[in-house]
Amino acid sequence: MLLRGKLRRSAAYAVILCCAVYLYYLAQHIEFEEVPGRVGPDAWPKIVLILLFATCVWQIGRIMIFGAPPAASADDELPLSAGEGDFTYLALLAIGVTVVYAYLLPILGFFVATVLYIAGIAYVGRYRRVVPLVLTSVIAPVALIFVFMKIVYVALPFGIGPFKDVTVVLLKVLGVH
Amino acid sequence: MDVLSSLGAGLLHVFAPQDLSMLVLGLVIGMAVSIMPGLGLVMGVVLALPFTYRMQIEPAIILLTAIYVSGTYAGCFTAILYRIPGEPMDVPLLWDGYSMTQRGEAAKALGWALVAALTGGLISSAVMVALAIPFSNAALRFGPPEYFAAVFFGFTSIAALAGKSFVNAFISLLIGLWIATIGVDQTYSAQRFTFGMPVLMGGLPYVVILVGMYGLGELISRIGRGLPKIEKPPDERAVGTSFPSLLEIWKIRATFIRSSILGTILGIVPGAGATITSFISYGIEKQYGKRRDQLGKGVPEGIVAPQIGSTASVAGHMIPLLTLGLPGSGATAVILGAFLLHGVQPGPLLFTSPDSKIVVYSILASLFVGVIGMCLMGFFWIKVVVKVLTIPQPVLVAIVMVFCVVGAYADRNSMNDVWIIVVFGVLGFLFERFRFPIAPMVLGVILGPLAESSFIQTMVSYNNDWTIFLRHPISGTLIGLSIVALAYPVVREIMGRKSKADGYVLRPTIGGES
Repeated sequence: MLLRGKLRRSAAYAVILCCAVYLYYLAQHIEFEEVPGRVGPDAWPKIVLILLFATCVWQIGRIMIFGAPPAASADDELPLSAGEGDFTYLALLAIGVTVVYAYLLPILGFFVATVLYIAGIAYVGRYRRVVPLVLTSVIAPVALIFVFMKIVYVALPFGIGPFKDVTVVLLKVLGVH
Repeated sequence: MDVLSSLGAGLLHVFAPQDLSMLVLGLVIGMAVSIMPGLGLVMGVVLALPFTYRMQIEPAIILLTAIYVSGTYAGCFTAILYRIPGEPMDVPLLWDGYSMTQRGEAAKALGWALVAALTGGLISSAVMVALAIPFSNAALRFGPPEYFAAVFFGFTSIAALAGKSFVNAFISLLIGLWIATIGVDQTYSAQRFTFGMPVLMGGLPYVVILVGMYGLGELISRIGRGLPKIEKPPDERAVGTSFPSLLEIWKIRATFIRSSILGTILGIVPGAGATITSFISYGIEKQYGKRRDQLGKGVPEGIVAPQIGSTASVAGHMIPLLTLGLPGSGATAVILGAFLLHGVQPGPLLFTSPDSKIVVYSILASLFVGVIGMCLMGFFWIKVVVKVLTIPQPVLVAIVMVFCVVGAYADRNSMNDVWIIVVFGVLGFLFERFRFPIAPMVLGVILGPLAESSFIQTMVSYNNDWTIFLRHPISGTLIGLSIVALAYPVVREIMGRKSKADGYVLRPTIGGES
């Protein structure tokens, strides 16, 4: 196996290894009043992190020395929701849309932000039928607001400024007080 | 006698309006999510969790348990009729089920699946009721070393069973255990890994972690795989359900008995979720069944064995959850989360107070009613299957993603939780990408505090003598079982090679999740 391939397959374990080392460093600096002969609050995290460190070193060693087989090769995968191929860029786009949604939620309020989010995610998921998309994007948040605010009593974000006014009007229409 | 009268009282509770409505709702949700490829029963349980915040504990657990039990059954429709496994556990069903459909025997195949689910569900529920008291009595003798050993056994077995790679599963578990240490330590009030952020002082809410990893992360992964499209809408008028005759059932009675026993026993083992049970039941049938040579070519045994196995495992999983507070699968981890949200720690003490005892027996009784209810619903479910399969996947995914975010927010009405779910959604996506199973991490998060506290208590009580875990009979046995669990991946690899050489593969790759 080429060194480049081995390095690529070791990358995830190397990242976890680095995190484990850093977290162990933090664990050594946990502040507490030590009681002689008694394990402190740093003991358990240190055990966990040492095991994590050792497991990553073991796996990286296996890959670098023996070229250990991958965790699961493509032909071992079950044909469950196999999809149509590799669309990693769409997944990254979906993450981006979700981050923007989380940021805008307190500003635009639940209704406006969710209309945009559903439309955005469905579009990222390659759905292109405009009328059903618009209808779903509007109806779904309204239904969720009704269920969560009227039945489950969860106060969803109202938004600020004009967006708050939109939410208030919608709540009045739905009979949510 | 006491057990039967308690079960009878529980049955009366189940038929009270609130419990019954939650049971029916749970069955509907479970059957709906399990026919949607990629959603699955764990996500169904996770998505329903936020709705239980303001419920009483009994209807809340009944709702989640009903989703769990019916989720193991309804996937047979899409697997048998359209060769679409809604869940990994449904894959063995399509090998013989779809072959029967191709021969024009779809209705009969669905009938076999229904009878199998009914048999497996009822038998394992009965066994569970019988075992609940002995298990809880044994659990009452548990001290800190025994509890730690039990949790340790749970950890090792789920790491051994949850994924194709033991190393990846073990890393996943350790990450979960580390996440559980975030926050202010209860004994010393020391801040651990809070990075100076007040939001981390109280630790990370495990409900948000569950929804993020199982819900948001899985949906992002699905988008990354390209959402599948249904080529042509199936015709529900073409298919019904046709029951096998008693004589036909009698002919394969050995399969029924074998798979029921196997499903119930494997269900008790932490980590052996419905998926693994389904695959192993099929594998055992392939090795010991009377018509093993015809398996895979459309014989009822190929449907009955995995269906019984997966449904029977539900009741098996509920035993360690209710008696020890130890979940053995993703779905039971969520159910444990629901218990804890309501301030109730499942364990042997549940069986000691009359108030909590009736709650437990109501949950147990709801399994019997749920199994029968799901089979009744299954008779008419084909029409719903057809409708659900025509919903555009991108729209469905978008709505479910909103559900995940709202579910996280609803826990504490906090935007911080929305950000936490986004972080864990991305982490879930990365786990899937790099083939780290999610179930060990989730169990690590939920059971981490129990593992740590029992470990520390043992060390304090026995002057830091770690050999106490080996010297106490119960904990020593459990540690021994843990070593067996750790050896299992090696045996599995050897058996996997043998199975491949024999021409079929026993491969619950995504196992342990459900």
